[in-house]
Amino acid sequence: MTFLDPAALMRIRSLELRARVVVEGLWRGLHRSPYHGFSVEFTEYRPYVKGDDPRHVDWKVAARTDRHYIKKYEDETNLRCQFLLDHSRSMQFGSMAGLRKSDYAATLVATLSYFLMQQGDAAGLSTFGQHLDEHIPPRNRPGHLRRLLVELEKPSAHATTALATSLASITDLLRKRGLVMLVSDLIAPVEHLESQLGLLAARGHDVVLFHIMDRAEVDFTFTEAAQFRSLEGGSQLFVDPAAARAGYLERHGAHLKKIRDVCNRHGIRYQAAITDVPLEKLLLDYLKETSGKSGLRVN
Amino acid sequence: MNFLFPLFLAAGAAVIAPLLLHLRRQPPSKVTEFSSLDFLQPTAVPTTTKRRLERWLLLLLRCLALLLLALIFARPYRSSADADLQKGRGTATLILLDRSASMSRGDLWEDAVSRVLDHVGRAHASDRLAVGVFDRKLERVLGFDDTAAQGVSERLGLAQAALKELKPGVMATQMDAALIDAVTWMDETRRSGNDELPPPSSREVVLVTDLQEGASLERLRGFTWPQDITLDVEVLSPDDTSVADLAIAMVNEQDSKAEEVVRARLTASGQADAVSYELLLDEKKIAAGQAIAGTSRIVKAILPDDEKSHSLKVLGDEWELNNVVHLAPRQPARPVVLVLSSAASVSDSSSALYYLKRALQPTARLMPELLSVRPSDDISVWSRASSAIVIADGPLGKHLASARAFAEGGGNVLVLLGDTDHGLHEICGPGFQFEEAVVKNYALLTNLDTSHPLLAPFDDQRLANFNQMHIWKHRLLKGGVEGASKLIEFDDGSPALVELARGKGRVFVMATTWSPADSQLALVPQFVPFVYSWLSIAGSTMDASHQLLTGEMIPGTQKVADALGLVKEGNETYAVNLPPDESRLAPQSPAKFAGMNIPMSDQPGSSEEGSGGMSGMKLEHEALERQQGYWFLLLGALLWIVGMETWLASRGFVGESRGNVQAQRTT
Repeated sequence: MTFLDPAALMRIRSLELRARVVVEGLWRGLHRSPYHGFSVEFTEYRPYVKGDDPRHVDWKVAARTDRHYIKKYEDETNLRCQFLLDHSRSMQFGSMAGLRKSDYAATLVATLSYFLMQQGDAAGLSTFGQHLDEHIPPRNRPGHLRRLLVELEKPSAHATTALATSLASITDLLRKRGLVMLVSDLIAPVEHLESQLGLLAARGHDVVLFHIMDRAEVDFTFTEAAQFRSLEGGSQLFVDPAAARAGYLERHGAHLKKIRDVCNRHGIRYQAAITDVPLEKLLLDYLKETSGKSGLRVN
Repeated sequence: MNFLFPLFLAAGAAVIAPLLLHLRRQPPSKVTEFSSLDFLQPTAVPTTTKRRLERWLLLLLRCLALLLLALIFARPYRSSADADLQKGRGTATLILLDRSASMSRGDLWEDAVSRVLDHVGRAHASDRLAVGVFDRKLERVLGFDDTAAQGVSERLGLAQAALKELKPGVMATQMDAALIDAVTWMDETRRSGNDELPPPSSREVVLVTDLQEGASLERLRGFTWPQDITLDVEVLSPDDTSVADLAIAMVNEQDSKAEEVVRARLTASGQADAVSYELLLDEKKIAAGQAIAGTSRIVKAILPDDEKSHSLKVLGDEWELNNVVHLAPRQPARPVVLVLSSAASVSDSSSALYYLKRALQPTARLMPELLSVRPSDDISVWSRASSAIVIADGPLGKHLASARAFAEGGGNVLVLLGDTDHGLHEICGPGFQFEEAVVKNYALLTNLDTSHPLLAPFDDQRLANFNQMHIWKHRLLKGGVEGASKLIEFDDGSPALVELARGKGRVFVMATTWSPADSQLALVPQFVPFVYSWLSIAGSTMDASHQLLTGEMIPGTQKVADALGLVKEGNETYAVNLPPDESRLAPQSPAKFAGMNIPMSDQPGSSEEGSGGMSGMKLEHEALERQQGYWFLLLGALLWIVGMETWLASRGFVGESRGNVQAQRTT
């Protein structure tokens, strides 16, 4: 199976179109066609079991098949998914031309939102940087996807990330249980992060963590000595990559390990998302691995 | 190779600067943005110096550029040319000394002579030298050939002897003519050059002058000055420039019978604000006042009614040459015009004599005497006549024969034909006949022969129109006028004025008169010019002025007025004055010569700075350097190197191995 190169994907300017391209690819990857045998009506029936209210039995189906099926209500069956998207300045980094972490993250969120709302599930979005920026509760109404996409396309306005504070604010806002997907590069002290992630999990949410990383952050691919300037804060440091690479990889690896440990402790699904990995592949891997574990279904 | 300014070579030490700069390593200035510095440890910044030179080609070009710059400022010249100097290819120098009237101020002349001698003394033995003085024209004092075989001291002696006898004159300054003559002089010398001497390496004219404002330079504007002759102007000025100068010059003469008013322009110049003056006429004070420097005023003096010479003098400044205006005595011409008539009267307005009397008014220059003669008068009166008019208005008797004798003796006779012939053949020749012409309304004059001296004034368009003059009556000449020249015709083709030769003199016959019954001739503007023209060809002119300026020709002679005051030539006395331009003493700028495309020597001398500071050898070296112009070639090379350096630097050429460059580009 061939996947779409992320850099080529990002050249599609419309976020909605980008999401649709990824979702179509995703369906092909799942060997399912979204255009055959898939209907709202079919998915909203289930066999009658004892104790169900007979008013919800579909008698036409019973007359035709001699079997009893019950109509399912939306609020009873739909998934509520809240995306938490990191809008900090560090997300603007991208070692490949035209492929920043923020673009990759926005496309990922748009794709999942599109995918979920096609299934009739509700998707919401919260963006944050130094503080909670925008909060759109999960819904599945006509036009809601558009609202999410508009919000995703807004440029980042934050210099630094206050991940723990923002997560605390969001935890207060999420009353109903559901799926919470945190999309961030997680450039923050892990200690603060752990308490908030733990709180979210403790409230009954299914928490999934998409850790967005650039290849240069993972492997430290720089070769030329230069003044390195932080995107968050603007501080500068003279670094010769040849001398500094080993130390960096060690410290970065330790950071990743801490994050994984936190996730394991709190039952949080961790998914590393490196920007040079095609989105379809990332999602397929995720969906296949988590089928049945989280609320995200593959029909 | 020698240098004019070798000190500039020290600037070549500046090549150390690019060397040091190339040895210095720039700390990496590239900035790479990264998401977070939390996982990075700082690396030590590399040292700023290095032992190995990079970009060696750029370094070489930059060092070369600095060295060339130092060389250009040092002004190199070839030493072999210096040897030429030693072989005798010196300069040819012509020293021109101004001896116009303005040079007689203060000690200008002594200063100028010492400057000339200084130049002569400073000239190298191989130089060729000539000295000339000029005022209105150039006079050669010491020729190139005179000094060719002389040593420096002999030349100096010759120049001293020649200049010792010279003094400033009273002429105006024709500097343009003198300079043009000087160029001719130098060219002549080159053409007839002494074969034993090599041609001069350069040619120069040294002008020692006060360069006063009145010096004429106009002709130089249209003159093509040879570009290989440089001009060195040494401007002299009086020691005390604060003294004002007063000058007086005649404006014009106003003729009047009773009195003569002389108008003169009194000019004050100099740096003093105002100067007191007294105006004297024949040493008697007639006016006094204050003259403001830089201004001029017209002063008037009323001359006594006599025929003596006078002088107008202004007192108040030191230089007196321009303080006097000499006035020639009044010397009017006194022609005796004899009018022969039987009835003409001075008081009768219908008479021709009436108008003639009024036309011939006496002036300061012409005082005609009108002598009316009746047939009954004695013929002895003809001995006084200088010209005669015969009005044939009646029998004239014995005077006709006298008139003929007067004409044949060289006199001019004008005959006005009346109604009837009264024996005019006596005067006009045998066979002379005329009759009354039939005129319908009026006749006009036409076909004037303006080439004849009598009618020359009517060549002027302002007097050429005779169409407004009507002739009511005129006569037709029937015989006796064969061979006569016809000067004017009537519009019917008959002659109106003819000239007949009689012995040494001539007789003009007019076929009408100017009395109002015959014509309007006496009433038109052409009448007075006609009468004066007739007097003029009879030898009585009023044009000759007796006021001359120095340098002008004395009328009737080949002499030039070269002294101030009164000059007597024959019966005439002339007053000679200083030309007014010679009193315009403000100095001009030598830059004017440069504006006329005359190459100037680099350091034009002036009375303040002098020229003693620069040795002759130095000047020669400068001339050599200018001729060779090596600095120009060096400048071209410098520009090429700078261009190459810019091109290489823009292409990022580093002078290192290709592999290294490729490696850097890849990263």
